[in-house]
Amino acid sequence: MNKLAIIAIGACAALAAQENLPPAASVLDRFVEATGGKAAYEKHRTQLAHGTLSLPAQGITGAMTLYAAEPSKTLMRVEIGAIGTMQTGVDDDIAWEVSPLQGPRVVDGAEKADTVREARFNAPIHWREQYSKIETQGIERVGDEDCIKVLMMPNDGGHPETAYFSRKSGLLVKQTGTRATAMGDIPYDNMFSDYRPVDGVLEPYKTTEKAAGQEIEVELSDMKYNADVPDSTFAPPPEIQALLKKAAPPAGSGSSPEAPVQSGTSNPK
Amino acid sequence: MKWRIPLVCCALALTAWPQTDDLRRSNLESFDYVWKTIRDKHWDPKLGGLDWNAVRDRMRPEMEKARTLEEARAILQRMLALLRVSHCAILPTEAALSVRGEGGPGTLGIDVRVIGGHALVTSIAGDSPAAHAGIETGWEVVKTGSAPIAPMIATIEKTYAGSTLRELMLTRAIDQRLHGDIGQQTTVMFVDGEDRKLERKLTFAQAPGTLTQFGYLPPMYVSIDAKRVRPDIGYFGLNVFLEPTRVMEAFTNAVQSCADCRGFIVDVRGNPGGIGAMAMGLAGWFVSKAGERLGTLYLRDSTLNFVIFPRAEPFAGPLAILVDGASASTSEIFAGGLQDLGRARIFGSRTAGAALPSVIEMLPNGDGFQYPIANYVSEGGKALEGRGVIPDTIAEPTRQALLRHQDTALDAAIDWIQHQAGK
Repeated sequence: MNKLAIIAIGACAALAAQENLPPAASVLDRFVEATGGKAAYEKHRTQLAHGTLSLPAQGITGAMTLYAAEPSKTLMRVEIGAIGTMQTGVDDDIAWEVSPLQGPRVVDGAEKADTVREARFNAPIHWREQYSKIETQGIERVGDEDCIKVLMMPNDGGHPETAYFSRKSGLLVKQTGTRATAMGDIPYDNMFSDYRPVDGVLEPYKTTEKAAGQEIEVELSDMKYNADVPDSTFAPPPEIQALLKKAAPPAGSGSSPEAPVQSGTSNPK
Repeated sequence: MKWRIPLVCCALALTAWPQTDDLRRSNLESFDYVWKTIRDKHWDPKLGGLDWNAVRDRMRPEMEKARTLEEARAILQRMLALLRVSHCAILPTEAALSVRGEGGPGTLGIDVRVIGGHALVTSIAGDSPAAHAGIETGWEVVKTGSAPIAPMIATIEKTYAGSTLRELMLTRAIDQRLHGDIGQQTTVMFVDGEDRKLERKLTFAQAPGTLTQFGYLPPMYVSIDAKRVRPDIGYFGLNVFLEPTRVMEAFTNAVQSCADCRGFIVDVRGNPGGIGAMAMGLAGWFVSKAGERLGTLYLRDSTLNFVIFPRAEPFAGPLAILVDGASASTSEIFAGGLQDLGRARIFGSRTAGAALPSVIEMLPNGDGFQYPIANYVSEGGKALEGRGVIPDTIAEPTRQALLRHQDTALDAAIDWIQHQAGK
C-alpha cells in the first residue's frame, strides 16, 4: 500500500469521526438532562454551599461559603486564617471584591462581563442566552474518560471557553479558557469531579483549578437549594458602596458610573 | 453557575539524622521533585541557559550517596544556587517549626547594620533587654557569646562583594546571632561612643508583635509601629508583609487619622517581604487614578499586572518611603512601583534586589522548598532582581549620627515633606 492510500484512508477515518460528532447544542442539552433536567433546575431560586478552598502544595486552606440567587447574585466568602476574609460578589449588574490583601474594588470591563456571566443562576439551562456560537471540536481523552470537546463563544465578546463533556455520562469533566482579571488575562484549567445529587440536580463537589502557576482545590461539604438567603446578603458592603458613590457621576452629567476617577495625587519630585 | 477563585501569592528562607532506607528514598524523591519543579515551573523556561538535564545527571548520583539529611539539603541548595536567582531555597523542617530559624524566638531588641565594616546598633526597641541595659544606637557589636563578629562580616562581605544582597545577608547573619531562646542569657561585647569595650549580660525576651504563620513559611513576629513623627507627619513602620487583616486595619487607621497631615512616611527598612499582594493594598491608599500599576509579574504562561485599586479617599499629600539593603521582595515591589509612578520619594540606601515572587511547597522529606514562579519588572520597566530600588535621596546611617540618636533617612524624609508645603 502506498503512502497516498494511507493518507486517503486516514482522511476518510477522520471525516467519519467528525461526522459522528454530536451537535454542540445536543451535548449541552444532554448535560442539563444528565444533571437532573430543566424542570429540576427551574425549581431552584437560591443556593447555599459550604466547603474549603485550598492551595495544597503551599499548605494554605480556608473555609468557604457560597450564596447565590436569581437572576445573577452571588457572594463568595473565603476565610483563610493567616490572610483574613476574602469576599467576591455580584449583585446583578454590580461585581465587586474585598480582599484583605488588595483592598476593596469594583470589578469592571471584561472582568465584569466574565464575572456577571459566570454568576448567572442555573447557568446550564441558560446557555442559549449566554453563548453566541458553540461548536463540537472532537473527542479527547480526559483522565480515563473519552470526552466531547465543545468550543463556546460568549455573546458578550468574552474569551472563548472549551468544555469537555463525558461521552459516557454527559457530565462536564473539564473546562479551559482565559479569564479576564484586573491583573490581566489568566489561562485556567478546571477539573470537575465528585458529582452528587442536590435537591434533584447533580453538582460537582470538587473543582481543581490550575491558573497562574498555582493549583487551587475547592471541595464542598454541603450544598442546599432554596435555602433562606435574603436579598440583603448580596448588597455590596460599605467600602464598595463608598467606591460606587465616588465613581457615580453628579446628577445630570450623563457620564458612565464606571469612568475611572482621575488622579489627584501630588508630584513628589 | 461557576465560581471565580481568588488568586493568592506569597514569598521567604535554612541542618542531621542518620540515613535510613526511608530517608534515602524520600531524599531522592525530594531531589526529583525539586529538579522537575524547576524544569516545569521556573519563570524562565531556558533557566538562564543552564543545562538542567546535565545538572540532574551530575547531581542525582551525589544524592544517592548522601548519608545524612544535612548532606541531602546541601546538595539541593547547591543545585538551586546554580540558577543564580533569589527566592530559591530549602527550608529545613526544624527551621520551619522553630520561630526565626537558627537564632531562636527570643530577641534582645537590637537592630544592627554593617556600616563601614562595623556592626552598628541602628535602633533599639522600647522596653527591650537592650533598652533596659542602657545600650545605645551607634555602639558597635564586636562579639556575641565567645564568637567575634568581624570574621563573619569579612566572610560575607567577600562572598557578596559587588552584590546587592550584601547588606541583607550581613543583617540576617548578625540578626541570628542576636536571637536565642526566650529566658536564655547571653553576653554581648560592645564598643561604646567613647571607644570603650563593654560587656553586657542580656536575657533574650519575647519579640514584639504577634506570631503569625502563613503556609509553609516559618512562623514570624509581625511588628507594627504607627505614630506621628511630627504633629503633622504620619509614620508607619512594618517589619514583614504578613498578617494582612491586622496590618491593613492598622494601616487604614494610620492613614485615615492622618488625612489632613502634611505628609506620610512608610518605613520598610529591614523588611524582607512576605505576601506580595499586600504591596498593592497599601499602595491603594496613595493613588487615586484607576488602572495604575506597581509593576508586572511575568510567569511562564501568563502575565500578571500588580494593579493598584484606589481607596475611596486616598491620601493625596507627599509620601516618603524608607528603605535599606535589608529591604527585599514585597518591600521592593512597593517602594519601586510607587517611585516609578512618581507617587513616592524614596529615602535610605539601595535595596537587596531580591524581588522574585515565589511559592513554598512541602518536599517528600518534609523540608520546605521555595522557588520563584515569576520575574518582576517594576512599572518603569526595570527588573528589580539583582538591581534593587535606588533611593531618590541616599541617606545612610553613620556612626556619628547614630551616636547622636539621629535617624538619617527619617530625618531626610521629614525635611523633604516639610519643604513640600504649598508646592
